[in-house]
Amino acid sequence: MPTQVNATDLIAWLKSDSLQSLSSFAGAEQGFNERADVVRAADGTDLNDFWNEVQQTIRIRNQDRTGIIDALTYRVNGISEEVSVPSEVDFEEASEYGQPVGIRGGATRLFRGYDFKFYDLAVRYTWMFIAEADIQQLQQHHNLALEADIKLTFRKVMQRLFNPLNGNGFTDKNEPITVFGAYNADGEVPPKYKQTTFAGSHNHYVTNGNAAIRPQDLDTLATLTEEHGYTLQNGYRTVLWVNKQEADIIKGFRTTNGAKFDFVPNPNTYGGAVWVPNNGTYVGGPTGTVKGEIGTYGPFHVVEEGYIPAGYVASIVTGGQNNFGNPIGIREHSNPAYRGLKVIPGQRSDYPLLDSFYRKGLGTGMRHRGAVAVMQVSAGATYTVPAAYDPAAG
Amino acid sequence: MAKHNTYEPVVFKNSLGETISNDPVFHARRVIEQAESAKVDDSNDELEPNPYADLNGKQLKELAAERGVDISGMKTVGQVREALLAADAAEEETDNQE
Repeated sequence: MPTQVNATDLIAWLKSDSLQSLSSFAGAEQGFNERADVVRAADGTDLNDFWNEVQQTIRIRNQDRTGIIDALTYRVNGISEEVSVPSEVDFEEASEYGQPVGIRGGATRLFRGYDFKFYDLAVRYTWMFIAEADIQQLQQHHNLALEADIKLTFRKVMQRLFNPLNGNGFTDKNEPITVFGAYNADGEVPPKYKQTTFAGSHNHYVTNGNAAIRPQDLDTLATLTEEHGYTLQNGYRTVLWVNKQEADIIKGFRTTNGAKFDFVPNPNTYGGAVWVPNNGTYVGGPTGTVKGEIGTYGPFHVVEEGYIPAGYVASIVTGGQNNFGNPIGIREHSNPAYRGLKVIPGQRSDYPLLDSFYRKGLGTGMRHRGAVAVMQVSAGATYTVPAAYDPAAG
Repeated sequence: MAKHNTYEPVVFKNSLGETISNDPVFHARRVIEQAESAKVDDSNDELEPNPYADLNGKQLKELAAERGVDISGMKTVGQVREALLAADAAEEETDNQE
Protein backbone atom coordinates (compact mmCIF):
# COMPACT_ATOMS: atom_id res chain seq x y z
CA MET A 1 0.00 0.00 0.00
CA PRO A 2 1.73 3.18 -1.18
CA THR A 3 2.03 6.10 1.14
CA GLN A 4 -0.46 8.87 0.41
CA VAL A 5 1.26 12.25 -0.04
CA ASN A 6 -0.71 15.42 -0.20
CA ALA A 7 0.13 18.19 -2.64
CA THR A 8 1.64 20.50 -0.02
CA ASP A 9 4.10 17.82 1.16
CA LEU A 10 5.03 16.95 -2.43
CA ILE A 11 5.90 20.56 -3.25
CA ALA A 12 7.89 20.85 -0.02
CA TRP A 13 9.88 17.75 -0.97
CA LEU A 14 10.53 18.99 -4.51
CA LYS A 15 11.90 22.21 -3.05
CA SER A 16 14.04 20.46 -0.45
CA ASP A 17 17.83 19.97 -0.64
CA SER A 18 17.61 16.33 -1.74
CA LEU A 19 19.35 15.36 -5.02
CA GLN A 20 16.06 14.46 -6.64
CA SER A 21 14.40 17.74 -5.87
CA LEU A 22 13.98 20.69 -8.21
CA SER A 23 16.51 22.68 -6.21
CA SER A 24 19.28 20.97 -8.14
CA PHE A 25 18.25 23.43 -10.86
CA ALA A 26 19.10 26.63 -9.00
CA GLY A 27 16.05 28.77 -8.72
CA ALA A 28 12.80 27.05 -9.52
CA GLU A 29 10.31 29.68 -8.66
CA GLN A 30 6.82 28.34 -8.51
CA GLY A 31 7.96 24.96 -9.95
CA PHE A 32 8.99 26.28 -13.35
CA ASN A 33 12.62 26.10 -14.51
CA GLU A 34 13.55 29.49 -15.74
CA ARG A 35 15.73 29.78 -18.83
CA ALA A 36 18.68 31.17 -16.90
CA ASP A 37 18.43 28.33 -14.38
CA VAL A 38 18.94 25.46 -16.76
CA VAL A 39 20.96 27.00 -19.58
CA ARG A 40 24.17 27.32 -17.62
CA ALA A 41 27.39 25.43 -18.25
CA ALA A 42 29.14 23.46 -15.54
CA ASP A 43 31.76 26.18 -15.13
CA GLY A 44 29.05 28.73 -14.45
CA THR A 45 29.01 30.36 -17.88
CA ASP A 46 25.61 31.65 -18.80
CA LEU A 47 24.84 29.86 -22.03
CA ASN A 48 22.62 32.69 -23.16
CA ASP A 49 25.72 34.87 -23.10
CA PHE A 50 27.52 32.19 -25.05
CA TRP A 51 24.72 32.16 -27.58
CA ASN A 52 25.21 35.89 -28.06
CA GLU A 53 28.93 35.24 -28.50
CA VAL A 54 28.17 32.68 -31.18
CA GLN A 55 26.11 35.22 -33.06
CA GLN A 56 28.80 37.88 -32.77
CA THR A 57 31.63 35.65 -33.95
CA ILE A 58 29.57 34.48 -36.89
CA ARG A 59 29.04 38.12 -37.81
CA ILE A 60 32.76 38.81 -37.54
CA ARG A 61 33.61 35.69 -39.52
CA ASN A 62 31.27 36.67 -42.31
CA GLN A 63 33.08 39.99 -42.60
CA ASP A 64 36.53 38.54 -42.14
CA ARG A 65 37.07 37.07 -45.58
CA THR A 66 40.00 34.79 -45.86
CA GLY A 67 42.67 36.29 -48.06
CA ILE A 68 43.03 33.39 -50.42
CA ILE A 69 39.33 33.33 -51.26
CA ASP A 70 38.87 37.06 -51.41
CA ALA A 71 41.79 37.61 -53.74
CA LEU A 72 40.06 35.32 -56.20
CA THR A 73 36.45 36.20 -55.84
CA TYR A 74 33.76 38.80 -56.01
CA ARG A 75 30.43 38.40 -54.20
CA VAL A 76 27.39 38.37 -56.45
CA ASN A 77 23.78 37.62 -55.62
CA GLY A 78 22.17 36.89 -58.96
CA ILE A 79 21.97 33.80 -61.12
CA SER A 80 23.87 35.59 -63.85
CA GLU A 81 25.43 38.93 -64.61
CA GLU A 82 27.02 40.79 -67.46
CA VAL A 83 30.79 40.99 -67.21
CA SER A 84 33.00 43.39 -69.11
CA VAL A 85 36.31 42.21 -70.48
CA PRO A 86 39.17 44.33 -71.83
CA SER A 87 38.34 45.35 -75.36
CA GLU A 88 38.71 48.25 -77.74
CA VAL A 89 36.75 50.36 -80.19
CA ASP A 90 37.68 51.78 -83.58
CA PHE A 91 36.99 54.95 -85.49
CA GLU A 92 35.49 54.47 -88.89
CA GLU A 93 35.85 56.68 -91.90
CA ALA A 94 33.11 59.29 -91.86
CA SER A 95 30.51 59.26 -94.59
CA GLU A 96 28.74 62.30 -96.00
CA TYR A 97 25.27 61.32 -94.75
CA GLY A 98 25.68 58.71 -92.05
CA GLN A 99 25.96 58.82 -88.34
CA PRO A 100 29.14 57.39 -86.80
CA VAL A 101 28.94 54.04 -85.07
CA GLY A 102 28.35 54.42 -81.35
CA ILE A 103 30.46 53.08 -78.52
CA ARG A 104 28.37 50.45 -76.77
CA GLY A 105 29.48 50.64 -73.20
CA GLY A 106 33.09 50.85 -74.31
CA ALA A 107 33.65 47.19 -73.59
CA THR A 108 32.69 43.71 -74.59
CA ARG A 109 30.03 42.40 -72.24
CA LEU A 110 29.39 38.72 -71.68
CA PHE A 111 26.83 36.84 -69.61
CA ARG A 112 28.19 34.68 -66.82
CA GLY A 113 26.17 32.24 -64.73
CA TYR A 114 26.52 30.86 -61.22
CA ASP A 115 25.23 27.75 -59.52
CA PHE A 116 23.78 27.83 -56.01
CA LYS A 117 23.01 25.37 -53.23
CA PHE A 118 22.25 25.47 -49.53
CA TYR A 119 24.49 23.54 -47.16
CA ASP A 120 23.81 22.91 -43.50
CA LEU A 121 25.30 21.39 -40.41
CA ALA A 122 23.63 20.73 -37.07
CA VAL A 123 25.01 21.02 -33.57
CA ARG A 124 22.98 19.13 -31.01
CA TYR A 125 23.48 18.92 -27.29
CA THR A 126 21.51 17.06 -24.70
CA TRP A 127 20.59 19.10 -21.68
CA MET A 128 22.76 16.79 -19.59
CA PHE A 129 25.77 17.56 -21.82
CA ILE A 130 25.18 21.25 -21.39
CA ALA A 131 24.80 20.77 -17.66
CA GLU A 132 28.23 19.12 -17.54
CA ALA A 133 30.10 20.89 -20.34
CA ASP A 134 32.30 23.88 -19.76
CA ILE A 135 32.52 26.83 -22.11
CA GLN A 136 35.62 25.51 -23.91
CA GLN A 137 33.80 22.38 -25.03
CA LEU A 138 30.96 24.42 -26.43
CA GLN A 139 33.35 26.83 -28.12
CA GLN A 140 35.17 23.94 -29.73
CA HIS A 141 32.03 22.76 -31.50
CA HIS A 142 31.27 26.27 -32.63
CA ASN A 143 34.79 26.73 -33.95
CA LEU A 144 34.54 23.45 -35.83
CA ALA A 145 31.40 24.74 -37.53
CA LEU A 146 33.14 28.00 -38.46
CA GLU A 147 36.06 26.05 -39.86
CA ALA A 148 33.66 23.88 -41.86
CA ASP A 149 32.16 27.03 -43.36
CA ILE A 150 35.55 28.28 -44.51
CA LYS A 151 36.40 24.84 -45.89
CA LEU A 152 33.14 24.69 -47.83
CA THR A 153 33.66 28.08 -49.45
CA PHE A 154 37.29 27.31 -50.17
CA ARG A 155 36.48 23.94 -51.73
CA LYS A 156 33.82 25.41 -53.99
CA VAL A 157 36.13 28.19 -55.18
CA MET A 158 39.05 25.85 -55.77
CA GLN A 159 36.86 23.37 -57.65
CA ARG A 160 35.80 26.19 -59.96
CA LEU A 161 39.43 27.18 -60.38
CA PHE A 162 40.87 23.75 -61.22
CA ASN A 163 37.93 22.02 -62.93
CA PRO A 164 37.74 22.83 -66.66
CA LEU A 165 34.25 21.39 -67.16
CA ASN A 166 31.38 23.84 -67.43
CA GLY A 167 28.47 23.22 -65.08
CA ASN A 168 24.84 24.21 -64.72
CA GLY A 169 23.08 26.67 -62.48
CA PHE A 170 19.37 27.31 -62.24
CA THR A 171 17.41 30.52 -62.33
CA ASP A 172 14.56 31.31 -59.97
CA LYS A 173 12.27 29.90 -62.66
CA ASN A 174 14.31 26.69 -62.72
CA GLU A 175 15.77 27.47 -66.11
CA PRO A 176 19.28 26.09 -66.58
CA ILE A 177 22.14 28.47 -67.17
CA THR A 178 25.72 27.59 -68.01
CA VAL A 179 28.32 28.02 -65.28
CA PHE A 180 31.63 28.57 -67.01
CA GLY A 181 35.18 27.71 -66.08
CA ALA A 182 38.11 29.63 -67.54
CA TYR A 183 38.38 29.37 -71.33
CA ASN A 184 38.11 25.65 -71.93
CA ALA A 185 37.49 25.01 -75.62
CA ASP A 186 33.72 25.01 -75.19
CA GLY A 187 33.19 26.95 -78.40
CA GLU A 188 32.96 30.45 -76.92
CA VAL A 189 35.24 32.70 -78.94
CA PRO A 190 37.12 35.14 -76.67
CA PRO A 191 36.87 38.75 -77.84
CA LYS A 192 39.65 40.06 -80.01
CA TYR A 193 42.29 42.06 -78.12
CA LYS A 194 44.51 44.33 -80.17
CA GLN A 195 45.70 42.17 -83.06
CA THR A 196 45.16 38.90 -81.27
CA THR A 197 42.14 36.84 -82.26
CA PHE A 198 41.06 33.57 -80.74
CA ALA A 199 39.20 30.42 -81.69
CA GLY A 200 36.41 28.57 -79.90
CA SER A 201 38.99 25.93 -78.95
CA HIS A 202 40.98 28.46 -76.89
CA ASN A 203 42.03 26.73 -73.67
CA HIS A 204 43.46 27.91 -70.34
CA TYR A 205 43.93 24.46 -68.76
CA VAL A 206 47.25 23.20 -70.03
CA THR A 207 50.22 20.99 -69.22
CA ASN A 208 53.84 22.06 -69.47
CA GLY A 209 55.00 18.83 -71.13
CA ASN A 210 57.81 18.38 -68.62
CA ALA A 211 58.29 16.65 -65.28
CA ALA A 212 59.33 19.89 -63.53
CA ILE A 213 58.36 23.54 -63.80
CA ARG A 214 60.58 25.66 -66.07
CA PRO A 215 60.91 29.42 -66.62
CA GLN A 216 59.32 29.19 -70.08
CA ASP A 217 56.25 27.56 -68.50
CA LEU A 218 55.66 30.71 -66.46
CA ASP A 219 56.09 32.78 -69.63
CA THR A 220 53.39 30.63 -71.26
CA LEU A 221 51.07 31.21 -68.31
CA ALA A 222 51.71 34.95 -68.42
CA THR A 223 50.91 35.02 -72.13
CA LEU A 224 47.63 33.18 -71.63
CA THR A 225 46.21 36.01 -69.54
CA GLU A 226 48.12 38.94 -71.05
CA GLU A 227 46.91 38.20 -74.58
CA HIS A 228 43.39 38.99 -73.34
CA GLY A 229 44.49 42.38 -72.05
CA TYR A 230 45.11 41.49 -68.39
CA THR A 231 48.54 43.10 -68.25
CA LEU A 232 50.62 44.91 -65.66
CA GLN A 233 50.56 47.95 -67.96
CA ASN A 234 46.76 47.91 -67.96
CA GLY A 235 46.76 48.02 -64.17
CA TYR A 236 46.07 44.35 -63.47
CA ARG A 237 47.88 42.42 -60.77
CA THR A 238 48.71 38.79 -61.57
CA VAL A 239 49.28 36.28 -58.80
CA LEU A 240 50.98 32.95 -59.38
CA TRP A 241 49.82 30.41 -56.84
CA VAL A 242 52.18 27.50 -56.36
CA ASN A 243 52.82 24.65 -54.00
CA LYS A 244 56.10 24.50 -52.05
CA GLN A 245 57.35 21.88 -54.52
CA GLU A 246 57.16 24.35 -57.41
CA ALA A 247 58.05 27.37 -55.25
CA ASP A 248 61.42 25.87 -54.37
CA ILE A 249 62.26 25.56 -58.06
CA ILE A 250 60.93 29.00 -59.04
CA LYS A 251 63.08 30.62 -56.33
CA GLY A 252 66.09 29.56 -58.40
CA PHE A 253 64.99 31.13 -61.70
CA ARG A 254 67.67 33.58 -62.88
CA THR A 255 68.41 35.26 -66.19
CA THR A 256 71.90 33.75 -66.01
CA ASN A 257 70.25 30.31 -66.10
CA GLY A 258 68.28 31.15 -69.21
CA ALA A 259 65.15 32.53 -67.56
CA LYS A 260 63.50 35.62 -68.98
CA PHE A 261 63.41 37.28 -65.55
CA ASP A 262 65.06 36.99 -62.15
CA PHE A 263 63.05 35.73 -59.22
CA VAL A 264 63.08 38.63 -56.74
CA PRO A 265 62.44 37.52 -53.15
CA ASN A 266 59.96 39.37 -50.96
CA PRO A 267 62.03 41.48 -48.50
CA ASN A 268 59.63 40.57 -45.68
CA THR A 269 60.44 36.89 -46.05
CA TYR A 270 64.12 37.20 -46.85
CA GLY A 271 65.23 37.14 -43.24
CA GLY A 272 67.25 40.36 -43.44
CA ALA A 273 69.70 38.99 -46.02
CA VAL A 274 70.83 41.16 -48.91
CA TRP A 275 69.68 40.18 -52.37
CA VAL A 276 71.65 41.44 -55.35
CA PRO A 277 70.40 40.83 -58.88
CA ASN A 278 72.73 39.01 -61.23
CA ASN A 279 73.72 42.08 -63.21
CA GLY A 280 73.89 44.24 -60.13
CA THR A 281 70.92 46.39 -61.18
CA TYR A 282 67.33 46.00 -60.10
CA VAL A 283 65.14 47.52 -62.77
CA GLY A 284 61.79 46.87 -61.23
CA GLY A 285 58.93 44.45 -60.87
CA PRO A 286 55.31 44.31 -59.78
CA THR A 287 54.84 46.80 -56.98
CA GLY A 288 53.32 46.08 -53.59
CA THR A 289 52.90 42.65 -52.13
CA VAL A 290 50.00 40.28 -51.85
CA LYS A 291 49.22 38.02 -48.92
CA GLY A 292 51.57 35.04 -48.79
CA GLU A 293 53.93 36.44 -51.43
CA ILE A 294 57.41 34.91 -51.49
CA GLY A 295 58.66 37.12 -54.30
CA THR A 296 58.07 38.20 -57.87
CA TYR A 297 58.94 36.66 -61.19
CA GLY A 298 58.34 38.83 -64.24
CA PRO A 299 54.74 40.03 -64.02
CA PHE A 300 53.85 37.57 -61.27
CA HIS A 301 53.46 37.97 -57.54
CA VAL A 302 54.50 34.44 -56.57
CA VAL A 303 52.50 33.08 -53.63
CA GLU A 304 53.40 29.81 -51.97
CA GLU A 305 50.22 28.19 -50.76
CA GLY A 306 49.87 24.72 -49.31
CA TYR A 307 46.31 24.42 -50.60
CA ILE A 308 47.56 24.41 -54.19
CA PRO A 309 48.15 20.77 -55.16
CA ALA A 310 51.76 19.84 -55.86
CA GLY A 311 52.30 19.70 -59.60
CA TYR A 312 49.90 22.53 -60.42
CA VAL A 313 50.42 26.27 -60.80
CA ALA A 314 47.63 28.76 -61.19
CA SER A 315 47.94 32.23 -62.67
CA ILE A 316 45.19 34.54 -61.49
CA VAL A 317 44.55 38.16 -62.31
CA THR A 318 43.21 39.81 -59.19
CA GLY A 319 41.99 43.24 -58.30
CA GLY A 320 42.28 42.76 -54.54
CA GLN A 321 39.95 41.80 -51.73
CA ASN A 322 36.43 41.09 -53.05
CA ASN A 323 37.27 43.27 -56.03
CA PHE A 324 34.88 43.67 -58.93
CA GLY A 325 37.66 42.60 -61.29
CA ASN A 326 38.32 39.28 -59.57
CA PRO A 327 37.85 36.28 -61.80
CA ILE A 328 35.55 34.01 -59.77
CA GLY A 329 32.11 34.98 -58.53
CA ILE A 330 30.73 33.66 -55.26
CA ARG A 331 26.97 33.74 -55.56
CA GLU A 332 24.98 34.44 -52.45
CA HIS A 333 21.23 34.50 -52.03
CA SER A 334 19.30 37.39 -53.51
CA ASN A 335 17.64 37.90 -50.12
CA PRO A 336 20.17 39.57 -47.78
CA ALA A 337 18.75 37.59 -44.84
CA TYR A 338 20.07 34.37 -46.38
CA ARG A 339 23.60 35.56 -47.15
CA GLY A 340 26.69 34.38 -45.32
CA LEU A 341 26.85 31.80 -42.56
CA LYS A 342 23.68 31.76 -40.49
CA VAL A 343 22.85 30.06 -37.23
CA ILE A 344 19.25 29.02 -36.95
CA PRO A 345 17.68 27.98 -33.67
CA GLY A 346 16.40 24.43 -33.92
CA GLN A 347 13.15 22.99 -32.64
CA ARG A 348 13.47 24.55 -29.19
CA SER A 349 13.64 28.26 -29.75
CA ASP A 350 13.84 28.93 -25.99
CA TYR A 351 17.04 26.90 -25.79
CA PRO A 352 18.72 27.43 -29.18
CA LEU A 353 21.96 25.79 -28.13
CA LEU A 354 20.34 22.41 -27.61
CA ASP A 355 19.58 21.95 -31.28
CA SER A 356 20.85 24.58 -33.71
CA PHE A 357 21.63 24.58 -37.41
CA TYR A 358 24.46 26.29 -39.23
CA ARG A 359 23.35 27.14 -42.75
CA LYS A 360 25.26 28.50 -45.72
CA GLY A 361 24.02 29.12 -49.25
CA LEU A 362 26.54 29.68 -52.00
CA GLY A 363 27.55 28.92 -55.54
CA THR A 364 30.43 29.81 -57.81
CA GLY A 365 31.14 30.62 -61.42
CA MET A 366 33.93 32.12 -63.49
CA ARG A 367 33.37 35.80 -64.24
CA HIS A 368 36.50 36.66 -66.22
CA ARG A 369 37.31 33.56 -68.23
CA GLY A 370 40.54 34.94 -69.61
CA ALA A 371 41.89 36.08 -66.24
CA VAL A 372 42.78 32.59 -65.01
CA ALA A 373 45.19 30.02 -66.42
CA VAL A 374 46.07 26.71 -64.79
CA MET A 375 49.06 24.59 -65.69
CA GLN A 376 49.68 21.00 -64.68
CA VAL A 377 53.33 20.10 -64.37
CA SER A 378 53.26 16.90 -66.37
CA ALA A 379 55.01 15.34 -69.34
CA GLY A 380 51.60 14.30 -70.66
CA ALA A 381 49.60 16.40 -73.07
CA THR A 382 46.21 16.17 -71.35
CA TYR A 383 45.32 18.31 -68.35
CA THR A 384 44.05 16.21 -65.44
CA VAL A 385 41.86 17.71 -62.72
CA PRO A 386 43.60 17.40 -59.32
CA ALA A 387 41.80 14.87 -57.12
CA ALA A 388 41.62 17.33 -54.21
CA TYR A 389 39.39 19.69 -56.20
CA ASP A 390 37.62 17.39 -58.62
CA PRO A 391 33.83 17.36 -58.15
CA ALA A 392 33.80 13.96 -59.89
CA ALA A 393 35.87 12.53 -57.03
CA GLY A 394 33.06 13.40 -54.60
CA MET B 1 34.48 17.19 -94.96
CA ALA B 2 38.02 16.02 -94.44
CA LYS B 3 38.60 19.04 -92.19
CA HIS B 4 35.89 17.86 -89.80
CA ASN B 5 37.11 14.30 -89.76
CA THR B 6 40.63 15.28 -88.75
CA TYR B 7 39.50 17.79 -86.11
CA GLU B 8 40.72 16.77 -82.65
CA PRO B 9 38.61 18.21 -79.84
CA VAL B 10 40.35 19.57 -76.74
CA VAL B 11 39.95 17.01 -73.97
CA PHE B 12 40.86 16.76 -70.31
CA LYS B 13 40.86 13.98 -67.75
CA ASN B 14 39.11 13.97 -64.43
CA SER B 15 40.85 12.52 -61.39
CA LEU B 16 39.16 9.16 -62.05
CA GLY B 17 41.00 8.95 -65.37
CA GLU B 18 37.88 9.50 -67.49
CA THR B 19 38.18 11.67 -70.58
CA ILE B 20 36.07 14.82 -70.32
CA SER B 21 35.56 17.78 -72.61
CA ASN B 22 33.44 20.86 -73.20
CA ASP B 23 33.88 20.56 -76.96
CA PRO B 24 30.56 19.94 -78.76
CA VAL B 25 32.42 17.81 -81.34
CA PHE B 26 33.63 15.51 -78.57
CA HIS B 27 30.07 15.02 -77.31
CA ALA B 28 28.70 14.54 -80.83
CA ARG B 29 31.28 11.84 -81.55
CA ARG B 30 30.50 10.14 -78.28
CA VAL B 31 26.79 10.00 -79.18
CA ILE B 32 27.65 8.51 -82.59
CA GLU B 33 29.91 5.92 -80.94
CA GLN B 34 27.14 4.93 -78.55
CA ALA B 35 24.68 4.66 -81.42
CA GLU B 36 27.06 2.46 -83.39
CA SER B 37 27.69 0.33 -80.34
CA ALA B 38 23.94 -0.19 -79.94
CA LYS B 39 23.70 -1.12 -83.63
CA VAL B 40 26.38 -3.81 -83.19
CA ASP B 41 24.44 -5.20 -80.24
CA ASP B 42 21.30 -5.41 -82.38
CA SER B 43 23.11 -7.30 -85.12
CA ASN B 44 24.48 -9.67 -82.50
CA ASP B 45 20.92 -10.46 -81.49
CA GLU B 46 20.16 -11.51 -85.08
CA LEU B 47 23.12 -13.83 -85.09
CA GLU B 48 21.93 -15.85 -82.13
CA PRO B 49 22.44 -19.57 -82.87
CA ASN B 50 19.38 -21.60 -83.86
CA PRO B 51 18.66 -23.98 -80.95
CA TYR B 52 17.53 -26.66 -83.44
CA ALA B 53 20.59 -26.41 -85.68
CA ASP B 54 22.21 -29.54 -84.24
CA LEU B 55 19.13 -31.79 -84.61
CA ASN B 56 18.83 -34.04 -87.64
CA GLY B 57 15.66 -34.69 -89.67
CA LYS B 58 14.46 -37.62 -87.58
CA GLN B 59 14.97 -35.81 -84.27
CA LEU B 60 13.21 -32.71 -85.62
CA LYS B 61 10.26 -34.80 -86.78
CA GLU B 62 9.92 -36.45 -83.36
CA LEU B 63 10.19 -33.13 -81.58
CA ALA B 64 7.54 -31.57 -83.84
CA ALA B 65 5.19 -34.48 -83.17
CA GLU B 66 5.82 -34.25 -79.43
CA ARG B 67 5.04 -30.52 -79.37
CA GLY B 68 2.10 -30.80 -81.78
CA VAL B 69 3.66 -28.62 -84.48
CA ASP B 70 2.17 -29.28 -87.89
CA ILE B 71 5.00 -29.97 -90.36
CA SER B 72 2.91 -31.64 -93.05
CA GLY B 73 3.98 -30.66 -96.55
CA MET B 74 7.42 -29.50 -95.46
CA LYS B 75 10.28 -30.81 -97.55
CA THR B 76 13.45 -29.58 -95.84
CA VAL B 77 14.84 -29.67 -92.28
CA GLY B 78 15.24 -25.89 -92.54
CA GLN B 79 11.49 -25.50 -92.90
CA VAL B 80 10.92 -27.73 -89.84
CA ARG B 81 13.43 -25.74 -87.79
CA GLU B 82 11.66 -22.51 -88.79
CA ALA B 83 8.31 -24.03 -87.81
CA LEU B 84 9.68 -24.99 -84.39
CA LEU B 85 11.12 -21.51 -83.89
CA ALA B 86 7.78 -19.98 -84.88
CA ALA B 87 6.05 -22.24 -82.35
CA ASP B 88 8.54 -21.12 -79.68
CA ALA B 89 7.82 -17.51 -80.47
CA ALA B 90 4.05 -18.09 -80.36
CA GLU B 91 4.33 -19.83 -76.98
CA GLU B 92 6.48 -17.02 -75.61
CA GLU B 93 3.95 -14.43 -76.75
CA THR B 94 1.11 -16.40 -75.13
CA ASP B 95 3.09 -16.62 -71.88
CA ASN B 96 3.71 -12.88 -71.94
CA GLN B 97 0.02 -12.16 -72.46
CA GLU B 98 -0.88 -14.33 -69.49
